[in-house]
Formats: sequence, C-alpha cells, structure tokens
Amino acid sequence: MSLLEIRDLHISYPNPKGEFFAVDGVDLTIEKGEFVGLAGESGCGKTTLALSIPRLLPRGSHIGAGSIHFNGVDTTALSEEGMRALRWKEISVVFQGALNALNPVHTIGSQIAEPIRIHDESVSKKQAHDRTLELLEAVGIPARRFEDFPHQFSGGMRQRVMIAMALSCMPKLVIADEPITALDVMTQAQILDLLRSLCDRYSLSMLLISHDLSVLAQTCDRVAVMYAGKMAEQGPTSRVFGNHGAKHPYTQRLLSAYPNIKHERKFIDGIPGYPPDLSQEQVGCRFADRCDVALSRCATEVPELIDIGGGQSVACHLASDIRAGVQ
Amino acid sequence: MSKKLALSIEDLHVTYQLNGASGKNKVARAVDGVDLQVAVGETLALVGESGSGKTSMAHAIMRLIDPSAGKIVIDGVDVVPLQGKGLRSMRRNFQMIFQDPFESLDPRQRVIEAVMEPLEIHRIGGSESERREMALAALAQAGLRPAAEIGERFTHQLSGGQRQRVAIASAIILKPALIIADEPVSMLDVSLRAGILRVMADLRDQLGVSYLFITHDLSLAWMFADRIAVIYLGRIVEEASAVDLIANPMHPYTKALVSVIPVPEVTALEDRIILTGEIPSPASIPSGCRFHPRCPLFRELGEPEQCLTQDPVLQIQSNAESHHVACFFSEHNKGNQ
Repeated sequence: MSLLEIRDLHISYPNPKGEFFAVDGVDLTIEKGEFVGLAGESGCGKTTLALSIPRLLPRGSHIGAGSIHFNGVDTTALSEEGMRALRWKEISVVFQGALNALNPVHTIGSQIAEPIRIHDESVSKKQAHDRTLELLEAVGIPARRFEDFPHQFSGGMRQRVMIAMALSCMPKLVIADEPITALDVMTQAQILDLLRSLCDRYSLSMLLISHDLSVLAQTCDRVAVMYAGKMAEQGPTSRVFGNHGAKHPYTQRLLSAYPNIKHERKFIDGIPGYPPDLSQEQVGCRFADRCDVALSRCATEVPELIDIGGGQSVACHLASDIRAGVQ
Repeated sequence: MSKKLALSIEDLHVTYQLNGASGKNKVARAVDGVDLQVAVGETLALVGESGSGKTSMAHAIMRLIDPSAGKIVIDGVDVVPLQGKGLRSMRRNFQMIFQDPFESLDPRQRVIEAVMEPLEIHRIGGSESERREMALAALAQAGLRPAAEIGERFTHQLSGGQRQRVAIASAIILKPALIIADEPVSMLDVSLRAGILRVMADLRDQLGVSYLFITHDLSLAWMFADRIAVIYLGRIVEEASAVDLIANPMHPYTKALVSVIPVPEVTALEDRIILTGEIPSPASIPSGCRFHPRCPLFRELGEPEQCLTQDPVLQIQSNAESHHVACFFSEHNKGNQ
C-alpha cells in the first residue's frame, strides 16, 4: 500500500465567471520514504493539489470527485475532527513565506515546542523542550538560538525553523510548498540538501512543490509535472531528466526554457501563448494550442495519462502512439 | 582606452549609518570600493547573493541613493556631483527596469500614458500626437502588438510578462545610453522569460543598448551577458567573459556558486561545493580577505596568514585574457608559485 494515493481528483473554486476548475482529474501516488517533486507554472493547480492532502484549501473550494487515500484511509470522507487528527501529526506543511508564517513576538524555540504539546497532551514541558533542541540540531540551527525571535534570523534560517516545526510531531508526509523560492542559490542548495537528508534520516515521504524543474532534478526520486489542472507527465527523476528524457512536449519545452551550463551556450526558448482559462470547459489536450507537434485529434480528444514503462507516464497522444508502435 | 564606455564606475562606496539598538553608530559598507566598466552595446551581468551590495550599486548608479565616495561616469559625465535640474536632465541617459512589474506601474494609468510619461517629463516630442506615435513605436519594439490596442488598456489588466514589456518600453523610449535591469525576469514564469530576454537582446542588437544586468542567477547571466562580475560583500571578487567565468571560475566563491547552479538534468551531486553559513553583515566585514571565514580553499591551505591580514585586490590573471580575480591563491597563482 502506498502512503498516499490520489485518484481522479477534481477541485474547483467559485469565481466571478462561475467555477474555476483548478485540479481536473489528477492522480498522484507517494510511497513511504519517497521524495516526490511537483512542478508546473503559476495557475497549473500544483498548490491546490498539494493543499488538498491536509485539507487546507481556501474557503469555497470544492472537491467535486475523486479520492485521497492516506495510509489506506480516504480523507475526503473524514470529518473535520478526523482530519485534525491527521494534520501536523501525520501530514505537515512547510509554507512558502517563512517570515509571514512565524509569529514575530514569540521565540522560535517556543514556536517549535508549541505544536508538540498541542498535538500530544501527554508530553511534558521538559520533554517538549528537549525535543525542540533535537529538532534544532536536525535542521542545523545552533541550540543557543532557542530564545531568539524570528526577526533575528535570515531567510534561510527562518526556513529551517519552518522545517523544524513541520517535523515537530514526526509526521509521515511533509509537503513543502516552494520552500526555497525567495532564497539565494547557495541557501537553496543548503535547504534542499537538508530536506533530502531529513527524508532519508527519518524515512519521511516528501512532496516538494516548485515552479523550478531544474531544482527538482537534483533532489527528487520522482517528479510530476502539471499543466492547466492536469498531470502532464510523471516519472523517476533518472528517466525524465536522464537519457531517456521527458516525453510530454510541455515538459520538453519547459526544460529548454532553462539555460544549461553543461551544454553549449544558447538562448533559452520560451513557450508562446498562455495556458487556457480553466473557468471554461476544456476540449481535447489543454496544451494543444501551444504545442508545435500537435495532431488533429489533440484538438478534440483528451489524452489519458498512459504508462510508457519504467514507472513513467505521459498524457500525450504522441507518446501513446510511440508506445503503440513499439508493441 | 579604445572602447567607448556607456558606464564607468571608479572606486564606488555606498555606506549606511545604522542606528538600531544592536548597531549603534555602526556603518554598513554595502558597496566597498568597486570598479566596473560597461562598453557601449555591451551587457555586463552583476551577480551576487542578497546582501552582496548589488542592489545598493544599482540604486547608487540610478542616484536613488547617494554614494559616499567614487565616480559614476555615464556616457562621459560623472553623475555623482549632479543635483536637481542637472541630474534630472541627465537621467534620460540611464533607465532602470525593476524586478516587480506589479509594483513599478501605476494600476490606474493606461499603458500608453505610462510610456508617454518620460517624454513629458523630459519635454521630448513636439506635440501630444508625436509623443503618442513614439510611445506606440516603443510598445511595438517591446513586443506589445497591436500596440494601439494594448496602449488603451489599464496596466492592471496586463499579465506579468506584458507589464514587464511596458516597463521596457518606458525605459527605451528616451533612448538611454544605459539600462540597469534588476532581476527583470525573476518574478515571471519560466515559459515567459525567454520572450522578455529576447526583446532585451533585440534592443541591444538593433539600438546598441548597453545593459547592467543584475541577477542572482548565474546561469541566466551566462546565457544573456557578454561579461560577468561576481560581487561578494560589497566587492567584486571575479570578473571575466561570461563563457570563461562559468567554464573556468578561479575565485573559491565563484567556484562554489558555479557548482550549485541547478541544471535541468541528472548530475553528480558530489561535485557541488556547498558553503556553510551565510554572507556576513556589511556592518562587520571580516578582516583580510572578506571571504576567508567561508572559504573552502582557505581551510584546505591550512589557513594562510595572508588571507587573515591582507585584503586581496582584483587582479588580472596573466594566463587568461581580461579574467580578473581577487584571491591570493586562485588556481593560477597556485600553479605559478
């Protein structure tokens, strides 16, 4: 049994035009101890998908269909009380804006210790204190900084505090939503290394959300790429970023939008056009308008996410044709 | 001097007086003696982490803050002593593109008005209709077509990429000698970045615009710029052609930065040099070489006295054309001593 199994999930928000279908039939699986990257550009639905797991979606959002099985339990069927028992203890989140998420008038030590005692009343103050020191050590913050306030920390150190907080109740799954976006390259490398080592040390499962595919290439076991509310492609990092390569035209175009210093210097490519308006009903492949290898059927038939072997799956008519040709 | 210079910075210093409880009467030396030159039609990327002084430098060049010492010569004129009217009239010669296109434009303004505004300020163009024509041409050059239609929209109705194009149009309409672009694509989605950079590159090729391209992203600097200068704690530590700097970094700081550049493929993680700690405060710059507390080479060499006591200057490496490094023990030095 996988730790997390999302099947055919649909999530929509009300908007002035009616309804906005942010996530429109998405599958995602995370195994125990697995480090999964979720990539895509603004508005692709990656944050909505991720926040549906601990059910932290904004008011008004609506899970229309599908299931989210966590440790064998369908959380979409759980009451708010049942969900609260999972949140933080089993599934925790490292949020994007570390400065805004921390309370400026409490020491970082007390902020890490707080969830420990809230979620387990049997823990004594002393035990929570000891556990906090242990967590500080694990995320690379010197113990002497226990009594310091958030404003005394740099962006990178605050992100470490956020990670310590997320680990405070020893969850099974940590969701990190763009945890390194506002940080410098060297600090990014430090935080990614930290996440990777914590994942290995505590056998955590990690879902790392990033708009930056190149960052995921070096950290994750597996990567999933979303486009316009759908999963475009997913597979082991070694395949998608390796010799085998990405098979969805969107993933391919996205990869060529990054400069690659390991290759010859050339101007990066963009992707002309814009993603479709998800408050409208979608026909065919959502990427077809921007795709330079689209077939006529792409305009009318929705491509299913198809297993092309090696754990890689692609939602593209071309990829399924390649597979059919091989067999 | 054979090349005509769009920008020449000589021994620039920017200091801030700190008055907080923790820093009474302390001085932060944000820019601490920088020399830089940008030739006409050239793009120089200034690369550094936050706290490196790169934004202070941009603001000093734009004269948004006053430097404490040094010269900033733009198109042959030192702009540091200029004040009031003299500075205002000189300003048309250097323009800035800011990082956040959502904050740099007035949401209540129509696009065409935003682009015409610099012309009005500098009293360029004989009539309203002439200015309108110039603004439409600038919008089209920035890739906003049909310019007449987009010109009538309000800036808040535009996407991030379109807004950044409006900012580019407003910057080029005065035909400046120098454009300072401060992280112009870092807020945009990856698929939109190429479009903005392509417009900037076309302006360089067609109009001979010179850029000071400020970024934290070394791989983008490598792709876009002719030369790269790496800044650390207010000082340039290495400067070379973009290709040479990435292929053959000589300063230990640059080496580490290059080693952690994310690339969209599977790479060997063991080759990365991850520095510990963070960039120190410019209010307490370490003695000797300012990089020594974080320098892997300093430790590897058994903490040489020189690094602790002497401040290395940016020196040309004799084995590489116009490759400058501020390190006593850069690869070249090691090989020849």
